Amino acid sequence: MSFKRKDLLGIEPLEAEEIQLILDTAESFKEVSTREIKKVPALRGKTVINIFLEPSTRTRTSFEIAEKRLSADTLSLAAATSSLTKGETLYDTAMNLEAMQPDFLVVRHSCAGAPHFLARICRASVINAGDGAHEHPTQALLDALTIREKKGRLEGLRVAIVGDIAHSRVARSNFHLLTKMGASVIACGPPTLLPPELDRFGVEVTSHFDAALEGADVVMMLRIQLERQQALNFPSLREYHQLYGLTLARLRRARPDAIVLHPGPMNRGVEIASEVADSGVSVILEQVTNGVAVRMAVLYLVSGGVPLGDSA
Amino acid sequence: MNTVSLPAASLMDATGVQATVTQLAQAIGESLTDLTRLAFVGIRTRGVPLARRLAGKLGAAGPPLPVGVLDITLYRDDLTRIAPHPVVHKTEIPFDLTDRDVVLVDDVLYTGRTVRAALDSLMDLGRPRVVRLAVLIDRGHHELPIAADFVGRRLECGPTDLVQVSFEETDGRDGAELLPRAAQRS
Repeated sequence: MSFKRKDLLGIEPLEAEEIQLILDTAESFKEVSTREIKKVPALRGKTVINIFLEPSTRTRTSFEIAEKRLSADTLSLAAATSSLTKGETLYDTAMNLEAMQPDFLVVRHSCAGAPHFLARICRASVINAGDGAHEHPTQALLDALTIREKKGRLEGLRVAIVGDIAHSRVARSNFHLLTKMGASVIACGPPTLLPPELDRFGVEVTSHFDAALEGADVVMMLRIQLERQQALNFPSLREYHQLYGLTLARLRRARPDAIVLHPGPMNRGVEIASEVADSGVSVILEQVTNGVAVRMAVLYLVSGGVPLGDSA
Repeated sequence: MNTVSLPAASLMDATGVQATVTQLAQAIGESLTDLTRLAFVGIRTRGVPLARRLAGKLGAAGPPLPVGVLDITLYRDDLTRIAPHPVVHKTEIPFDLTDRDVVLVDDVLYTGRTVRAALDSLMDLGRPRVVRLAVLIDRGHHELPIAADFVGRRLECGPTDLVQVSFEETDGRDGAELLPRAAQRS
């Protein structure tokens, strides 16, 4: 098995073997971050431009660290300081960046499909770091790596993904990844945050939190997007916590060896109680550690991809 | 490309491989006498079983000698020229290299490029007191100023011939073969 894609735009187009290869490669890359000299020369002389047109701490930092540990030259653009605020189109920004011969563009954009658009017009490899509510492939990959490390497998696991499914690209990428790898997935949230198109993902859907937790090997809590509160999808944060907040008492419905994931940033006391987030069942910080290894693996594999290959 | 392969010629049978490993171990033991400093690092894939065997022979009388595993993929000098990229396996050095007498081990020395990559990788992992190179077969045609300190067997062969070493641990049997190649490109 080898990885032939020039871009990583989402989990949906990937084959199970490709996902497997990325995870195996990431496992090999983990060791680099434990060295005294945390660097390998694999991407020496390559240039990466990180274009983050939406706020991000974790993902951007994680990509930058991954790039530097592979010896690439990196720079980051933020929306507030880029020419996009002067009215330049994404097309023109991309063409101008392309003219400086970067090898990779890592893109976060509030519009679904923005990285796909860039991949079509750019010679550089494009990696999707989150596009709208569509996909966040490296997050799903780091979640899978964390689950695989803790559980030894993905196949046959029961995974509950809980919260604001409607606005979550993390949930969508995870639905694709986990079902491709043979896990069974339950999507859970208030009816107002469960979009009708969920059946096409091949996941179970429920608004009953306790039922979703029943027998779960893995519980993935999603962030309630406070900035979208005005949409009135639920009456109050307090009520949300009562119905969909994960507490230790609630977690007893899951399997005794269940683990808890959260993509961050967490709202303590809303979707997850501190007593869970800070307990031994939480693997939230392992997720962050694995994020660097996964992004190193993706950069490495994509840089050996063949330009003009199928990057659907 | 049209490659005509001649029949394989046996270089070593199982007994030959085992005798050569014993000779290598002896030569290493005579040269690096401080066993408390000694450590082996095998280059993936077939440097690893060879390193383990050498460590086993030299450490038989006392405490086991440390053995590390090096994957040099990320240090290759041809990464920008190969697509898709080769699979990366784990590097596992479960001991501190600093001030060690390290014997770097590979099955075959050919261009020397793998050894160059391995040396760069080792230096990123620590600062050994000395690094020596042990190989089962030196087949010549080096492209870099790199030579082995301990050689099981020196071989004269053509630059495009293939030298294939097999170990019980990786291939189910011990042996070494020469696969002569009259490479005719059309």
